Amino acid sequence: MAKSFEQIVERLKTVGAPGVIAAIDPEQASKPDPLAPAPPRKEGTKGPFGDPHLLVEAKRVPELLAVLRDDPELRFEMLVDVTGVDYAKEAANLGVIYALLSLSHRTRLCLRADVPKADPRVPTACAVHPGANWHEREAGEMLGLVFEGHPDPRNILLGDDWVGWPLRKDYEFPVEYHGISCV
Amino acid sequence: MRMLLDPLRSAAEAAAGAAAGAAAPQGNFVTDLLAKISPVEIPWPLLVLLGALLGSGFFLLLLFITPYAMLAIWAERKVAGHIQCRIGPNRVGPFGLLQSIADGLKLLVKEDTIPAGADKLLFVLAPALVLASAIAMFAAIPFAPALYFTDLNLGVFFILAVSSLATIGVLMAGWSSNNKWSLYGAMREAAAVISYEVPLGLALLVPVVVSGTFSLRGAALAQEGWGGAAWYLFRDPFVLPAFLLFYTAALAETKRAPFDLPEAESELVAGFHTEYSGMRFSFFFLEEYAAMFVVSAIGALYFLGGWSFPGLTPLVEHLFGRGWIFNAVAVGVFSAKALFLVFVMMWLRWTLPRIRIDQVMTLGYKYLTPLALGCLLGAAGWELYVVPLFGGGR
Amino acid sequence: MSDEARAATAPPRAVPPGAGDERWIGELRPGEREVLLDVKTQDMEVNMGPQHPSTHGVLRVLLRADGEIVTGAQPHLGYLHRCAEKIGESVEFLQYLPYTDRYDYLAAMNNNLGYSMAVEHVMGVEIPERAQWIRTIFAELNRIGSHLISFGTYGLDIGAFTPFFYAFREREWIMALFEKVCGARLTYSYIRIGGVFNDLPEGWLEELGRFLDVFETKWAEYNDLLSYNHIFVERTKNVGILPPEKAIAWGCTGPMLRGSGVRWDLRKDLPYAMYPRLEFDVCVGQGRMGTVGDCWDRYFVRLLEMKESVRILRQCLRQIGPGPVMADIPKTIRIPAGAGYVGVENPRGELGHYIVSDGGKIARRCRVRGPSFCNLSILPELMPGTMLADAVAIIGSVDIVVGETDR
Repeated sequence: MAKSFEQIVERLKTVGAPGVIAAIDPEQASKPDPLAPAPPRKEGTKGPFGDPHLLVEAKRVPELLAVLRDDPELRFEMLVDVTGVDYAKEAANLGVIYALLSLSHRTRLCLRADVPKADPRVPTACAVHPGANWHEREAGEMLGLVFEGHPDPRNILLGDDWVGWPLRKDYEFPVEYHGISCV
Repeated sequence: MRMLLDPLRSAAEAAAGAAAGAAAPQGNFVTDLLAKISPVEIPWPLLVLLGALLGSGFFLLLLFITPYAMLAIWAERKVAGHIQCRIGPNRVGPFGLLQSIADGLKLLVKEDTIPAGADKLLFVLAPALVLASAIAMFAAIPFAPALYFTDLNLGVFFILAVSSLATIGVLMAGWSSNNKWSLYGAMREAAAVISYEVPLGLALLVPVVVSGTFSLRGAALAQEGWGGAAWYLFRDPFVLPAFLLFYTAALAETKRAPFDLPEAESELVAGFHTEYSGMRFSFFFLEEYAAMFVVSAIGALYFLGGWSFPGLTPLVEHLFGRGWIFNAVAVGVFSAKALFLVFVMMWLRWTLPRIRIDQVMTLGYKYLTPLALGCLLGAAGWELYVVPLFGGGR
Repeated sequence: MSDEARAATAPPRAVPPGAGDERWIGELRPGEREVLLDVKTQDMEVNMGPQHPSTHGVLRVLLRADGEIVTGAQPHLGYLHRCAEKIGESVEFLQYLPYTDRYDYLAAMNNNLGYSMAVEHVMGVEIPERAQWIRTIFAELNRIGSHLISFGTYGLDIGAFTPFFYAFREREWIMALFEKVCGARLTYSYIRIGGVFNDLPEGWLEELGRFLDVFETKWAEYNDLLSYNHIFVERTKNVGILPPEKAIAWGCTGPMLRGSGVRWDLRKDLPYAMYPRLEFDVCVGQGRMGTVGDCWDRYFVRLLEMKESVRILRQCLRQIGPGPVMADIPKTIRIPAGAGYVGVENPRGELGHYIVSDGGKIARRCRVRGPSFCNLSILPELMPGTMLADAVAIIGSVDIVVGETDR
């Protein structure tokens, strides 16, 4: 029943899923530039541990999510989580992470889509998975990601007038908020 | 108009009877008592004046309602505690009996706030109106054959009418608070009372039909006897359901669970009295407990035989006559019955969840009202056609 | 917010049948004629929360109400936002553990477990067997404790006060059991990265057995008192119906998903800790009182789960053996570069941690996916057309902990 990551990648190739760039191992997935060749591993170290990711094209995420959801061999019905990652202060890209879950095949899958920090726009996944709504609002306010076509793109946890994106690595803590000292 | 004048007339008669020095059944118990205990004979105009003063709401409040409400609040908390595997108040006084006094003091010294956007006049008037209705209701309750403030010949209607005054007070409170939750509470109260007055009144008409009198004291006197068989509850097959209907409707009238929608804590924060604090808030509290006692007293008087108890009251009467001893026993029996019904209200409150407003309306209009009407017709038919078969009837 | 902004962000107005004005004036069915009423009613905007007895904390729901009927609901979050994710990328892995206690403070053990497992997943550590047993025991015991609160407060929401105290009576014992092990009653930090903090004290497992014996008798009491109470059933059946497809699409997990009849439980379907070796059933809503996925189903799934937890705990008591309770890991934890997502079955649903490590002592990203957050996001869909009292019943049946929605 359960599908291995390799089987999923194989199946995606077979159906010609849109937007898939590459399968990356967990170590690459933690790097600002996932496609750069990894330094050779030291002898005897185990791993890498974690989840292999699927690197995808940000512009085509909704299409890919729809394929992943509807394909009978895959059936990733539930979008468990959408979040963003700022890998480093000097990194050019932000990562958008989609955690998918297949109830039918008891499998998880992590997608990573990179968007440039200068223009962090991603099409919204709300049309495919309505549950993405609040996750995208949160990722938007925390990392400055812009989810295009989002039905309700307001801040969710922060105030409406919050300045800056707290989870960016270059975020500077405010010294005061509405006259309340923060230091 | 005649109905309105009647209470006045009976009061005048009472005063006149007391002035004559006779323990007339129509006598106000205050005047009666004064005439009896006074070593010198009090001239009757003075007696009437004293009776009016002492028998007024203030005296009632001091003598009965406040101590009773404090005791009832203590009892409620104790009952709740024991139902919920707790002990309840146990710090102030023996068994925590003085807890209510401590709370009352706290409420007295609390700051009395009026919200900025409130309608000040209505906001201040509302608790007063609510409390006034509670006091007025008590005036018509007879505690024993010779212990009552006034024996109105339309007693039960008087109580029902006056109890509706409290609803107006609640509406005023909810509207004037300038708070949406309060407004919700007030509208719910109005809706519930309007729909439940009907089954309440109809169910109460059943013992009225049976007894042939609107006077609570008259009905209670008619239920005296050795075995308790004279209790209206056992009179015919329609009175018991009428009693249950009355009790259910009374729960809604007094805003008690499961009909406590006007103050529905988990929905409306505190309902119509959200914005009240200090003494004004306690007035609402006082009214709730007073109303609980009054409806329970009506239930006890009209359905459960008033102050008669099988074996006990007839024995006392046989041994000591209908003197003060008999009256004292009667007060005890009557209070025990009424307080038992109050206890059942508390029991229900701590057991049942709350009904939704549309379910309240459905229950009231679709079930209670037709059933109460059926009981009334049935009881009337029974009195007309069945009772004469056994040689009874008037 | 300005009026235009509010109008733009308000949910589409859903008019319940018979209660609205616009819809039935426009659509005439055969045999109907148009009656134009000169009465203009205005929807009332009511702020439910952030200080409200039944929003379970500082949730604020902006309700649009047409009298007693709710026509729209818009949750506003963030009153309890404590920057957990920002802290997660500022402190060391082990230092972050106490912060996990504080998102779902009613199920702190499960949070500890979720975070520890996520770190271990990226770290690649093997956990000793006894530690796994102890983790399973505490996860299940905390599940009972959490569901007890949910049961009690749901009674409060519906207006029954007494079940709350009954629930707290049993929970008190669970707290005492926790206290004996880790000295804390609410925020435990007992399950650590690599195992558990220390071994169980002498006689602890026997006391757990005694608790289970007592608890099973009490469980029947809860049903008598609340589950089958006629008023309670009338208040909760056919209210807030969540169809299974919708539950999946909106990412609802835990009792919320199972209440809709979806047989999905991470303990069974993607097992972790010692669950593969344990026998238990996944309880789902069956629409026994009304429709599948109504408030009563969600409520009753939680009750059944308590019973299953007792079953699991009994098996744990039989099978647990001696051994070490902590893996051999250094005091300062460094995690090789990697990224991974781990979800565990919390009492409220799937608690997910997405951890990105760059090979240092501090996480590069520590994302927390709280189940309450996702379960709550469906609220605007469930509310329109219900009564005001139903709104309370629905919020209660979602069973949120605001510490977790806001993190």
